[in-house]
Amino acid sequence: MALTRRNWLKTAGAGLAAAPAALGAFEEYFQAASGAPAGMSRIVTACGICSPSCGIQAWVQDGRLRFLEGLPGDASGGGHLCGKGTAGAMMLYDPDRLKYPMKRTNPRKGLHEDPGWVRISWQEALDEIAFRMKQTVDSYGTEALLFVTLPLPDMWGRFMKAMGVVNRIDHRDECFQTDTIIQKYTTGGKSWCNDFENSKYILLFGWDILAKAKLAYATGIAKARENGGKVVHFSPNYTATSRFANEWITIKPGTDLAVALAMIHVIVGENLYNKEFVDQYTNFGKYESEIRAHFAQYTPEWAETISGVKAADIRRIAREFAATRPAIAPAHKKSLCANYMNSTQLVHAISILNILAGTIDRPGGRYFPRMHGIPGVDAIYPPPAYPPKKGRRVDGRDKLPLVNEVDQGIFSTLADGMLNKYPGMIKFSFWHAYTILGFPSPLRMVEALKTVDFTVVMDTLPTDTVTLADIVLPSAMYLEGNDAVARDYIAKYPQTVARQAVSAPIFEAKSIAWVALELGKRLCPDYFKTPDGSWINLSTLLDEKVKRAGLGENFADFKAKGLVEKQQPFTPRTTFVSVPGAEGKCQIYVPQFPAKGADPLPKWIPKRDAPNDHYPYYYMTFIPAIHRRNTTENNSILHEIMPTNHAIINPAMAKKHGISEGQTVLLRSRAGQMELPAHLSETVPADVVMVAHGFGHTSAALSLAGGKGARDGDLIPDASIEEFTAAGNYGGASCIMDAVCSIEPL
Amino acid sequence: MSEMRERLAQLYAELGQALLKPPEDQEAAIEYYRLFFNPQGSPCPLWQSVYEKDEGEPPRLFGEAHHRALAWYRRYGFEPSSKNEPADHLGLLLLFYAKLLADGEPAEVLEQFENEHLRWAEAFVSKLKTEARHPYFQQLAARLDENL
Repeated sequence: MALTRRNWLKTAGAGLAAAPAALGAFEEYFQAASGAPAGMSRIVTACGICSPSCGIQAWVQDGRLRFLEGLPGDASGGGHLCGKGTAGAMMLYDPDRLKYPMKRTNPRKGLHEDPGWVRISWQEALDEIAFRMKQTVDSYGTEALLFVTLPLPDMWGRFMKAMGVVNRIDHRDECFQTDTIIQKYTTGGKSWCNDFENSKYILLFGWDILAKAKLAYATGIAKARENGGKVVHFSPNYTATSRFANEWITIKPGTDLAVALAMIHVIVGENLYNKEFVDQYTNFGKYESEIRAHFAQYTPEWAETISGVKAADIRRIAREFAATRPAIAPAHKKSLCANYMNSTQLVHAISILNILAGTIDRPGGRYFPRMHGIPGVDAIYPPPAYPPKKGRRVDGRDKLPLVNEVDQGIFSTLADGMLNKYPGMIKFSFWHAYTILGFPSPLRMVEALKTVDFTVVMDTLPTDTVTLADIVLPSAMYLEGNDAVARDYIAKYPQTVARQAVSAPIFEAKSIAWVALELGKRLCPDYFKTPDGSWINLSTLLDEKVKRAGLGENFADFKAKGLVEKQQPFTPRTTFVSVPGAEGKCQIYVPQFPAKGADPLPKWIPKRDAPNDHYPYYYMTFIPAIHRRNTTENNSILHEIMPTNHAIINPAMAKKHGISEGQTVLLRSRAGQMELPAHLSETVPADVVMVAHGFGHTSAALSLAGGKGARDGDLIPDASIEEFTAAGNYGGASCIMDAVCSIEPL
Repeated sequence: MSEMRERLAQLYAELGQALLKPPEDQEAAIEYYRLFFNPQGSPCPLWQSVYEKDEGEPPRLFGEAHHRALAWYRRYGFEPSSKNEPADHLGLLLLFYAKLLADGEPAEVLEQFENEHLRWAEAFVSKLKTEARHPYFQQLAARLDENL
């Protein structure tokens, strides 16, 4: 380049009017150096990519993260990090991170409209959002506000409750909402703790547990095998877990319920259940005749006609499961709890299998976490009474009393509510850490969002939802915040890790707790004051939580320790369900259900969409081990490993349709269509098309992931709440994989 | 300081400033944010380490180039005022280069800084030339191309 030499010659003739003040700009952008650069230091923190929040040692130099590794002694990760956790460092410094609050100048909205962004200050952004919220509530009531976000952290939850927000909705209907409901009534509560390593028989329905790469589970399953435990895996396709299991049994998609019901038929009919546990801790005795009569109809021969699993195998596995102690049939998230119209019933049936095995809160079974009691903000600064929630639920949740009760929501019915049931009702929406890619039929959600007057999106990275926002707020990510994170996946005794910021949030990113506080000051100040009348201070709040939980004098003291645990013997529970009428027992028969529109015992209902003349194939989606839902496709390391998705089909299907490896195919369903390259694999049954979730981010939105692959949701129909109630989907399972499709080569 | 040095210093300081601050004209400002700070993904990132693959590490913010730039600034007793943003922003690098020029640093020093921190800008300028739609940035791209 020889820049200077070239310019010594050129400058005279450059003809540029040099601004005399330009050199003065140096003072504006630079200041005197404050000291020598800091050396490498180790900071204890916690992962935030997925829920076990594995402990991390972060190596930081001169205020910047250099690399991440596992935290020795941490129960969740066992001192290790998975690939996604390690690659989290790349998310912190992703060039595409949202950097400043921005405001749209082009009022036209659409995935392909240029919003005309300009930067605004946080003050301006918060004032404008507060003004819009107040205007909306004054003119249309609180029902006109839509918050697409988890109710977390507690400060953010407090803000929404203080505002009387009726329509807060999160993704848990696509995840574990059904299990939350079922466990509340059958065992006493949803828990993430599965004592795999001490289990002798692990019965997996669908869940590709090893490919999810949750170390807490993968390690447990591996230890179970080492300890001589048996792993049986029902799955239509052959997966990483199938390969690892002692036995893989292929099954028609969406028919696990039939097999689970037939297994209960065998165990109850042949009196193989754990008599000691069942007699003492369950309501089996009280409802024995109802239970026996109900399951008598579900014979293994009947289940074979539905699932394709041989009756003899069902009978044998049921007997093995009952005879091998301890045994566990875990339920986790999407793959078992939310995929199909019959997922709620499946979760109930699986819970009954665990109760019959007698391993609820017992070694080798599903147990409840022993955790430090970290108080929430409401315990530390009790709020004034929250206003009652007044107004209509846009997703129709109020038609499903059990979903209402757990205060979650239904992504699948949101677009229908916004477009058809209550058109124009939602005037203001606030999205935090969710993208339209997370919805079935994302393009319907785009249409729904276009009907909203004002939308705020707060996130760490560009998402397709940003495209439709009026204001975009840059969110701090997990490596930029402080918190106390209790272990709740492996938690036989309490252990809590200090999540501490490896550095201050980059650019102008802020936490959602801070946004809650600032909006609270503007809109509902009484809820954000301490008893002495000053504003709540987030650092003081964390200090107080840490102190009351017994983790340290304050956060500084706690973070110096990094990890605090209280070793204690594991004492199994003797009381379980706390709802009235349960008498502290596990409930196989749920007598409270009929009054809430649900069946007291799980009954067979089919999945929603069955193969037909137009759409002859099952459509299955999966979340690859490499990625975390739709959030990591732009991570440079993970992107390099898996940059896009394919239509994975069996060579027999390929032959039938004349499709070759890599050839572009057109998939159609009643919801939509998409094009993507085919990948031929023997691991997929000949009547299934499989597509990985998380791809198909709109082009240009993300520098790596943008425009790569196809949106799996485009083939998945969204739903009306009436479809759910008619089908008996009382837990609001989102049917996130309940679709059928056709395929043709292009 | 020679007149020529002073003119050069002014020139680079001005170019640096044009990258650090949006123009006053509203349409040009929208273009500034679309090009450099687009919440839907920026076509022309302003930071050196986004263009450089470090040893074993893919392009990112706050990469090695950030640390090296910071070391240069500190050697002369300075730091960027903004602690939370990368030090290898092309605008900062140009401002600093202008400072070196204005302070009469010898040609070897200037050349070393050019090699370490301005050479990469070719890739940035080529992106800017392709992406800029507003005349202000088309002209800026041309001026950068001419002078880098």
